[in-house]
Amino acid sequence: MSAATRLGLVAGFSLLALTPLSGQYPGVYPGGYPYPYPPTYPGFGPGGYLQGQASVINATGDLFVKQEQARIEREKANQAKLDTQKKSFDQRLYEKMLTPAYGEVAAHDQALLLKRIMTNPMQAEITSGKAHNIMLPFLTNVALQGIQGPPIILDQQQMRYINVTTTGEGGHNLGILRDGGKVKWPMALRGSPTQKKLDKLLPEAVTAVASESLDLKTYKELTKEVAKLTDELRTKFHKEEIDGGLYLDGKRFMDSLDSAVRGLAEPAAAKTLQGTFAATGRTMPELVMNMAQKGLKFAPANPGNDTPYFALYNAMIAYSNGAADSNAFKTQFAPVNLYENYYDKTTKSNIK
Amino acid sequence: MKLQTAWLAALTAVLAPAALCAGETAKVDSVSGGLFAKSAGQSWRALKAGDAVKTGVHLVAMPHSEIASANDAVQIVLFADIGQRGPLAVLESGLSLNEAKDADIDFTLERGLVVVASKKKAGAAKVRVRVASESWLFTLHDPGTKVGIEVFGRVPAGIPADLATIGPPLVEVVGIVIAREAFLDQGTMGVGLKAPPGQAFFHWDSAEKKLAVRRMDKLPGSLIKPFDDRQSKLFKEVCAACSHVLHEKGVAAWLRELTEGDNKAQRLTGVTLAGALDELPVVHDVLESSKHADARAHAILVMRHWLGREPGQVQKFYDTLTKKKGLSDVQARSAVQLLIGFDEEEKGRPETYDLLIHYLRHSKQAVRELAHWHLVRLVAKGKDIPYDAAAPEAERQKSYERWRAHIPEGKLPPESTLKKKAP
Repeated sequence: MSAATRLGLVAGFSLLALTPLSGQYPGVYPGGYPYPYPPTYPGFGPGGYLQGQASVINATGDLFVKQEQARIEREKANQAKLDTQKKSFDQRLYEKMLTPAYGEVAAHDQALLLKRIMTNPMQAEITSGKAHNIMLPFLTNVALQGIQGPPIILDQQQMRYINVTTTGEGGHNLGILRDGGKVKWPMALRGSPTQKKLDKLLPEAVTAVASESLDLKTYKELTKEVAKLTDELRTKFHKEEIDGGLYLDGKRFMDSLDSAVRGLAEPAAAKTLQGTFAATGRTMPELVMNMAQKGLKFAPANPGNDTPYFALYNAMIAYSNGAADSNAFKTQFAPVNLYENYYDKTTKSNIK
Repeated sequence: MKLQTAWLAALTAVLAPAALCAGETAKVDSVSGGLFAKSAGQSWRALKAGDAVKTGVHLVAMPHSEIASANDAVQIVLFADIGQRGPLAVLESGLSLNEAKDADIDFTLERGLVVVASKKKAGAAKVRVRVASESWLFTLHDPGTKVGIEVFGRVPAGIPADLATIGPPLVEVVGIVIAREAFLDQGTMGVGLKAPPGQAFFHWDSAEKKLAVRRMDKLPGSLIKPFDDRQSKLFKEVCAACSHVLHEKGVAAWLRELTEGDNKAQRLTGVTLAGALDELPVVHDVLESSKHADARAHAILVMRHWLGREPGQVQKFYDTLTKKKGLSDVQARSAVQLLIGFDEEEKGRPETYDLLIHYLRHSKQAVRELAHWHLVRLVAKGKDIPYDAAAPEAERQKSYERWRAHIPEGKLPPESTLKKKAP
């Protein structure tokens, strides 16, 4: 075997790794792999050293072309069959098939979204509470119908770190102020006069909100100081007094604080800070029913408090998977196949 | 008769071309390019065909070398890539030899790709391969059995506020039985492997720590496809670049000459070699001062590859930047963070994009290059905004303004999937 031949082997070998392990392993690069970028980028590489790659790509391309041609041929045949059948259909019904009713589409989209959130959520969707909020109505339905899921006990220590809001996604999140307005400042924000001033102002404001006596002057001063501290953080970063990691930590914290301070002006702020509005419940049905009764949604995690969100997410998944054994839950969860439903109802046959 | 036997034995011992001394567990069969060896506390030296290799020596091959076990039962072929990336961004290959107690050869595969082959004329050959936390014993059942193994490591993505909290790299291993049959003994379980058609392909990673096996009906034709003329020419260029006498001017001077050259293949080979031979200041200098965008982009890959080699690399890299390159603590941390990259949550936060766009105007070319490297990968439209980290400031400012216009401060990219309705 010549050197060139042997090296050709390398490239092909590398590419082989892309092939999924059917039935045993989802692929060499499971989701969340630390090298998520596209494998090739213009201008990258010396122009072809491990050359089997090019030929593999070409070969794969040829295969795709052939497969595509075969698919087109098959489609043509199907189309002919479809055309014959269409003539016997009522045109109105045919049009309806192409434009399903809004409710059907919404149900279909929601089912797909739920499925993705339950199987492959992004980290940000968990730490923002979005994933929990998407699952919430389905779990509430399960609880309302009395369907028993597995007996999962929620960790009360962790539940204390779950934030809620009355305004839904995008609303203000008071979670960061729930400890009487005492906050744990990240490294990048500590020590400045503005931070020290806020350290004093925040507990006063929280106390005032709890007794429904927060005045406009205090509120305006708070928002001004928060904006000032955010500017100070940015200046520190631009002057290279802090690195990118500390900046991102600080910025995330300031975004949470800004949201919380703005939330102090909302009517529900007092109840949230008093603990009336909180994610409470020893079991999953208790939690989702409490949330539903008070009209609460999950709010984003406070900086550094991501773990309880992942734990709760996992508990929700485990509960819904257990509950999914029930036929009642399955009916709601299974994605709707609009075309199948249509043909089942109208022609009692399925052209697929 | 006894005398005759003793005489023959003595003659054989004198004439044997690669007779090995104690502690020498392998010998070099052939070298295309460079095969570099390093013992603890010593500097790199180049090996040539016929040289013996001792236990504990680290070997790095660029781009292709062959070594054989002391008893000549097993051959290890080391392959490399110089940046024309496959899915497992293999660059140089590196391994160290261990004392072989229960096998014909025992080695730790540190990075890259090797093919182990039985050279025995009859019977089974045994190869112990250590990779990450694993120790696998391969039995190559028949003469001519060949198994390819490729290992790849990366530090998990996510900007760390504290470098000390960074965990070990995630390591991924893939392999394939190329010819005949082998048995892989993992210690707690074993699996029979067979070249296609058969259970030929295996995979392991340090996250799951599970071995998965897959059947293949045939080897892809590309596996044995020979180089065309252009590729052969390039291979020769790479070999020529790597076969330089190592200590004529010193390793760093030689590598700088390669990385600053006008020949692209040599430039990228130089960058790969600089990472392979732990000459981090050279890699950093390419990123910081090279006028060639291809060399800078490749330097990023080489640095990420270097960081993912084994636990502790991040701290070593930070120390190099602060102690040898004179970067401040903040600058070194920022560089490390940018090399590691962003996790899924960070990609969904507007401040990540603010940070990266801000870095496009950074005083250090290395930081600008890294920021742009991420931006064009995170923002699809970014590829339409020309940017050269080495361009004059006025030119960079124009690109910066286009980026800022595309992603206003406090906003996510317009095309961000987080904003779209999920499918």
